[in-house]
Amino acid sequence: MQNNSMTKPKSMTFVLYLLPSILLYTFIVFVPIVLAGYYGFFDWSGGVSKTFIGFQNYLGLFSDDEFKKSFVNNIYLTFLCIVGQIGLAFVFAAMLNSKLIKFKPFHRTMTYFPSILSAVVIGFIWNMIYDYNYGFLNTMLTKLGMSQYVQPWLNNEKMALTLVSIPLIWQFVGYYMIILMSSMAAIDPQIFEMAEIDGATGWKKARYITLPMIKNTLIVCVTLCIAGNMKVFDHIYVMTGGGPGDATNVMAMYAYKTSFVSYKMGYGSAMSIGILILSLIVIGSTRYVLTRLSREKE
Amino acid sequence: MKKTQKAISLLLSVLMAGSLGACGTGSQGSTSGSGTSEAKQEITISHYYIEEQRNQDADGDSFYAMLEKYQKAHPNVKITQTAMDQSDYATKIQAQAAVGEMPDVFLVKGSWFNNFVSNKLIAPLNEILDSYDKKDTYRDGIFDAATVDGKIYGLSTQFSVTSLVFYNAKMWKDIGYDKFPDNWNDIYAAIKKFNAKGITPIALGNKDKWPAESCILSALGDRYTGTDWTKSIIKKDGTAKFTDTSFVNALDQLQKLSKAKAFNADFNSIQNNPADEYYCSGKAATTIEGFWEIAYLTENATPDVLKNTKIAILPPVDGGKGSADSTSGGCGWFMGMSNALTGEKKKLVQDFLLSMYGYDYSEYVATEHGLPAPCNVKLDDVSKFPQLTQDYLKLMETTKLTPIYDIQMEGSVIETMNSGIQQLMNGSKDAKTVAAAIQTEQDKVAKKK
Repeated sequence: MQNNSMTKPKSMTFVLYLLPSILLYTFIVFVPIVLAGYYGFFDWSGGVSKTFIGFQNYLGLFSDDEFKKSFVNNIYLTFLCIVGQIGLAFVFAAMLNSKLIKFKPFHRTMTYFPSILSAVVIGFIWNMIYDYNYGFLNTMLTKLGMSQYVQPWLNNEKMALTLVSIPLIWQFVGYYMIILMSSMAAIDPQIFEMAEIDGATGWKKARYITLPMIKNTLIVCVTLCIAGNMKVFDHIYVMTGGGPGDATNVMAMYAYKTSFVSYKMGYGSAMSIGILILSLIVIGSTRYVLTRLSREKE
Repeated sequence: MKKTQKAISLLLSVLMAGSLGACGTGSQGSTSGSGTSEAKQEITISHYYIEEQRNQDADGDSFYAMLEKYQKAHPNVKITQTAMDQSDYATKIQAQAAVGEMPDVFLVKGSWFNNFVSNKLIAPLNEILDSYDKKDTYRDGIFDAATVDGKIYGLSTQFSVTSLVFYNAKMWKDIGYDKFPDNWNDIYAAIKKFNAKGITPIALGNKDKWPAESCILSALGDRYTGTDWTKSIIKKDGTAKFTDTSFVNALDQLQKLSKAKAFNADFNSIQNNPADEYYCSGKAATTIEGFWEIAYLTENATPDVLKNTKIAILPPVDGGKGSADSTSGGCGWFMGMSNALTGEKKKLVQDFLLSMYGYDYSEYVATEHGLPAPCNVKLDDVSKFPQLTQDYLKLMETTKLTPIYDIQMEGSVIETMNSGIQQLMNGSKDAKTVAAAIQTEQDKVAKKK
């Protein structure tokens, strides 16, 4: 009897325990989203006077080329980050799990370290790396005798988006590495021993044992990565401010500028709802495809 | 036993949640509580004057001087200030405006007035200005950007000139020019000579997107289009269009300058202060900035550079409609008052505003910093000021002012223009495309009115 009540608390207890967080979540996340959805129906420049305009703001999103372009930029960033963050994290995690690597705690700490820095700090560090006159990148190029490649990096419209993705990858690779390492640690070592007896090498072990065994964790990582990149703002705000022109404009940046630089609060609100829906669609479809793919293999 | 443990932990968690809530209201209560103790009255003010930068910011220094004077005269009025960097300030005050919670007194940019007035966030100041005995000392047109439907909504905090050419006379002399050229052919020739010597012809930091537009295009554009065109754009009456040949030509000129390598290569990825460093350290021969640069250079330039710095305005253009002895200027930022104030508090704040930004302010700006101020102040002796300041005062005697684009045009139009200019100067879009994009935004805004 007593044992039972220990393992299974009453549903009332659940509710009471959860209540504080639910209340906080409701007022910090849920209410603002509903309000943004509501404001999206108005022509509103901030302040008291609002004009109801129905779905005009929401429909306007479909014909807004700049919004489309920033969505494409988000997708491009997401793609680079999935490959860069999770791909590298997988490689690093596999290496740290192998017996060949020395000083594992050191490597682990150093790789995770950027994750604890604030985005503004990361932005400034990389601004210094890309700096035209004193930047690390240009200095190295000059030292290596490749001064023909020296350029004001973030001024290059074609490369700017790729360049701002590198700090993002650098910062979060450690985060995914820790998640993947813990999931790899959960794999029964006997499986690896068996495989080694059968003659499997490092790459084959990673491809045919580790990867299938941690695929659920990988799907979670991809989801987190997409969610993170759909709302990316602060790194880009610090490094380029969306420029040059609109080369590194992302959806969150555009929504911010629409609301607080162009004073179109109503349209900005509609846009944030648009970002929410688009993110849900992208995450949902990726998850669907990934789970389908992994199931088919079995 | 287990039951009581459970009960205790539940109680604790509820208490914790409760204390979280209590914390929130508690801390809020104390800040407002300390200000409103019976004997003391409180005025809240938001601005972008950072106290640590007083010595390189003439406006800021004058603001603090006036504030100290007011505090001395009114020791029982508590002034609560919120000060932050200018771009942060713009974000914060816009967010406050969105929820209608304005401080009592706050800085307002010229282009915000339409929005703030239509949202009833800001109070008209005509009644205090009309009864002010020194009203006539204010310069003509200084309230232009703060006037909506004939009413004035803000007191001018500055007499701002946004486009001035600061050039290193010695460096220009070295390549054969006694003074800054009065025609563009010479400028392009000089750009070539400077580049051959490894000197940046013009330092520009356009990462924040406004410098190229506010400090160069505002004046250059007027050379081509004339001021009537700009006024029509500001009024949104549809007569003038950004796609007009004259404006497209101005954009074209800007692109040509960039193509000729007139600017430092990283002009789109650094802010204006790092760009000023090029000039201050003698790596660049010229910089085009606003009047604020005088204080900045005095503080930061090497003595050699400072000694050789001279001031000029952009040269006229062939076939331009604008006058050659003008540059972009006026008042960009105003001090406004919340519309929510009533009764005695309103009276108190009105008095505060006038004692801050009345004639005394201008007198302080003029006598302490030697700068032209919102009110006309006659200076008998300017010789005590640095040479650069004297040169500026002399130049301003003969220079007329034209509207500053980003102070008077709509925010969304300016945003499109600023982004477009970055692409234009990078060479990724041509002048016609950029002009068309700006006009599309202007059409959207005009349709709404």
